[in-house]
Amino acid sequence: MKSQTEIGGETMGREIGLRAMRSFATALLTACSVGLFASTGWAAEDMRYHDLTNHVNTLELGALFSSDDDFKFSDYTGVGQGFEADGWSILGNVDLRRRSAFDAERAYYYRVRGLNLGLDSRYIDALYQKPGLFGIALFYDEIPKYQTDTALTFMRNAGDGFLTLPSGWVGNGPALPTDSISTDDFDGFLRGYDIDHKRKTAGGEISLILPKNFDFDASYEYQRKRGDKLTSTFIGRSWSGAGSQIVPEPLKYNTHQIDSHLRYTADDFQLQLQYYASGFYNDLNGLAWQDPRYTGAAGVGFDDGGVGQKASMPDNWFHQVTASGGFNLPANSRVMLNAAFGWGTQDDDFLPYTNNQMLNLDPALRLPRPDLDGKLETRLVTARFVSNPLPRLGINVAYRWNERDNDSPIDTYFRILADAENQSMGNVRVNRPYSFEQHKVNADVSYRVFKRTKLTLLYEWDQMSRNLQEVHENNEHTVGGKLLSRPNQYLNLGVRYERSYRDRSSYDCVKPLLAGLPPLTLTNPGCPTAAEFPPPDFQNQPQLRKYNMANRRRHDTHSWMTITPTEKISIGAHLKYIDDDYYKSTYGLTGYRLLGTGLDLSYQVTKALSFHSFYNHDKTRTEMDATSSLFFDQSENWSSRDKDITNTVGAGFDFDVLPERLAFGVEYLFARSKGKVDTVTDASGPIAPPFPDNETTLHNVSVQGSLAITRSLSLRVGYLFEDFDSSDWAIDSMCPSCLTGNNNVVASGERPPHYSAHLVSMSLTYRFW
Amino acid sequence: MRRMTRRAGIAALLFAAVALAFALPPAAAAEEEEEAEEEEAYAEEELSDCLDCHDESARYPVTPILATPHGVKADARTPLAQQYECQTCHGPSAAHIEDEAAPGVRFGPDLPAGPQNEVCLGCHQGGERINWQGSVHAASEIACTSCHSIHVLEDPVMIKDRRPDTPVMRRGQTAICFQCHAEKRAEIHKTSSHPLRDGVMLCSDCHNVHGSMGPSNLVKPTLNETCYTCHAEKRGPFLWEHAPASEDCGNCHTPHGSNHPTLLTARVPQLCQSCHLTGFHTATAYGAPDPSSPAFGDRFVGAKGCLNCHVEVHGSNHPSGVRFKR
Repeated sequence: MKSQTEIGGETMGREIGLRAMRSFATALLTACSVGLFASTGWAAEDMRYHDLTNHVNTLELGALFSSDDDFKFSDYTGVGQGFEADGWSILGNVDLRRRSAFDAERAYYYRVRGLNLGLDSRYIDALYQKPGLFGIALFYDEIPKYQTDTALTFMRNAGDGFLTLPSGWVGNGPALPTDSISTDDFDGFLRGYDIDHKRKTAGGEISLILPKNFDFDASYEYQRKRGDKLTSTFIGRSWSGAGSQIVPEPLKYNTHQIDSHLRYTADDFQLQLQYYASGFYNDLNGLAWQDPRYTGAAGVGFDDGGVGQKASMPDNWFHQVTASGGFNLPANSRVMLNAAFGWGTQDDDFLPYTNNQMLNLDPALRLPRPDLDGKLETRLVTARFVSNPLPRLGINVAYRWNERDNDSPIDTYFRILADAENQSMGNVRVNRPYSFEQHKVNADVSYRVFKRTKLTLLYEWDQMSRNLQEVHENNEHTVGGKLLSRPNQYLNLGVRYERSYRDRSSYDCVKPLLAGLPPLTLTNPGCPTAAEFPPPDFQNQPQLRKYNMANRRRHDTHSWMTITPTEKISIGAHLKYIDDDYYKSTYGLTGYRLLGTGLDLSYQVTKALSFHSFYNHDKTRTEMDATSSLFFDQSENWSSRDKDITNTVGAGFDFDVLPERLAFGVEYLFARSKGKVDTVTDASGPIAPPFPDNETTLHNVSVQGSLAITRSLSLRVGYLFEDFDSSDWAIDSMCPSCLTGNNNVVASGERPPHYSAHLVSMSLTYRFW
Repeated sequence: MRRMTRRAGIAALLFAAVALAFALPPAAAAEEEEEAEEEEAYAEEELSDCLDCHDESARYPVTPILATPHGVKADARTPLAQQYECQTCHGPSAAHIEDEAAPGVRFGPDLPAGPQNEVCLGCHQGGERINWQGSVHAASEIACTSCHSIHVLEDPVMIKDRRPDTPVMRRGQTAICFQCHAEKRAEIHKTSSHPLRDGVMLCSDCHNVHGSMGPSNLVKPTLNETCYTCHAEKRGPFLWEHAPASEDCGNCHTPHGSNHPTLLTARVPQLCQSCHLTGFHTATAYGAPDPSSPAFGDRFVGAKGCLNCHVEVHGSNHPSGVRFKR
């Protein structure tokens, strides 16, 4: 399925063959399991109960037909990507289990389960347990991600770590920033390339029940991610002549995870010791490419063949030890303590500054170290005390300390923008390992005003301090209250309101910039005035306040209610509103609002017929203010107001026409979202053309029916229709060469997804006991 | 916007008023009723005493519990292995067995969560539930039985269903969570979302609903560490770090659903411009790109926007990657 357009039928046939082999292997496994399970019986004490409590084993085999192979429709499930063009897939599900009789002297339980066996989203697990003694489990999981099947690139070897230019390509040299990348036959060189990847995860777990209230478990999993993602690579020579192109980058990720727990559980206190480790290995060190502007002529910049290179995600390891304890105290009180200490390393070899040996020969361009030798420590402690000292009074106090300490070495590195032509050797930067520390205290007091009505008052203090950033310390105080009431069996409701105030220490707008430069490069630290606005001109506007550190006032309200006037009817409603005001930010994010409402209704018409429906509306609005002036000319102020509005409606019913014989269900879902961006410039400033709305509409109808032919055999039929339409101004009509005129960005040409797909399934399910 | 604030405030107040109006009289009555309960004695129970009535035809059938982990006599930890079997959880029920009076401990949605949960926590307070007390679900008085069904062959909240034609509202665990978290149900239908709709991901992959040391009941101590369980490549530490990414993935991403690509909280370039207004291109007010007649600024808006060049925003390990381009 992964193919550049040139790939021929032989590869496709081999792929289909592999799929068929996988399906056959799965069927074989299933058959063996059936034999194993069928031969196992219960030790009998009272067959009356045993018959009632036998597990049902199920084998389901059928076919799935998808009328469309659009990537968005196939995303995460793999439907439509079966035997390539025809849309057929095998529908296979297996659930086999056996449990000893409830009164057996030697208990056991085992289970083999296979889901979506004929699809790329297959899942298999197997479990064996001796209840009260031990358990062992294995699993295998596949999740496909189909990103886009409309991307284009003129590079060859897509999917490989070295992208090459097609034969016949003529570069046009790195002369001026306004140079076009186009050749005589740009479009003729383009090839389609699918961007997708698959995660395959396999792992296992053992659990042991140990003497004296101890138990232990340990799990390991290995995840392999293969495929591609879209990335960008710079092209052309450095600085003013640089551009970029969107190309596929292969994913060759491997992740190992280990998680183990040793627990002690007693009536009044519980302890847990956990060790977790994660190791990430990337089989790809970097992505290299031939520069499309390379002319082959010497002395015009690409002195060493015009090959560019960028780094891929580096390998990393992380370990964490966590100790947790819960202690029950007198007076209906409990204390819970958790402490986690983690340490991470990253020592993936650096790539050279540049592939261009003409530059690398310069002795000044020696790397300060072969790898980062990165070290990271995380420390986290939480403590919580809960108590009901009086029957109606509840106290809940919690403290949290969270620290990230990045102890990676700091050095000076040259900033070589691209792998071509001589560049300023004075362009150096110092890496900034970020660390932060958070203290958080929550306290709430609840009082049961009435037996089933509880009022809670709460307070929270959140302090965050950081290094190397504009704000050293933020403090946020939150006060609020919550009312929960279940006055009777018909009504359940709640209201919560919180008000937060976040302030900060002084805003040092050049602190990150100074930290990233060698000492004394800038001589006027602090936020400069307009007149003092210094070079380099890449420092932020002094009046900008980054929103995660800015002063903020927040209202947060949430109300919900469920009414069940009869056992058969349930009505639910909720309202959520958040209002953030970044009241001291002249530029940057200045406001955010969220309004969410919803209504749910369910009705059990008869024992055999039930109906449900829901409606949700949510709306967010962000407000951003900015200026395009370097010197704070008010006439160049501009603002952006973004709105996202989403409506979701769903309804369905289930009908048991003949109980345990014939049943079917119908579900309908409609979701529409609209995104608006309104950028307004000052009348005297440059005019920004309006953005079109982005719209996404989804209709989904599904019908499922099952008919029991005999006690053991049933027929299941499913039909799903999904219509999806979306627009996105960033990629609508954005062909690969559309931005190459004087802009030097080669786009991927991908299109927003839209499809109308029918999915039909029919299967036979065999049940046995 | 001010009007919207006022409307929301009024709606919340109305909600509170309705709550109080409904709450007062019935609550008092319920209090009296529950205080009138008398202590009961344990029945010298045999299993059949319970199962004879609570068979398949009963209003509350319980027989399938014999085929679940709770119904294993050989496992000394289970209620069935204890002296009073069903009464281990349901409390002394002698009177109930005699004349169908209520058992000592009752479970159900219309009953207070606290006493119900105490029964479950009697055995299940360790491990993943060690932080249950004081957690958001405990404080909201959610009963274990609000989500779990234990007298059935398979607890719906534990069922894995990946069938591509199953509507999300019928996917066991996800559907149960959405009964209360309706706004999340709406979010997963946005343009970009994690694959909860498709059944290949469950709420419990990220959340430990029984309480945890992380925010929002996350399975790991922090949001970022939770994200790294699937996105380990973004863990670093990188040579060149992007501070907001190292600090909190939630600074730029929203986990449940977004109308913008890759679960971003806002559109690029505006999202980036919220924090980057430097002297050159990031300070410019951009409009819609015009592919038919590209202006210079279109390269910062069209296609991937800022990510056309600054693609490594999670961090770069290239010695010259300070601008996240390589």
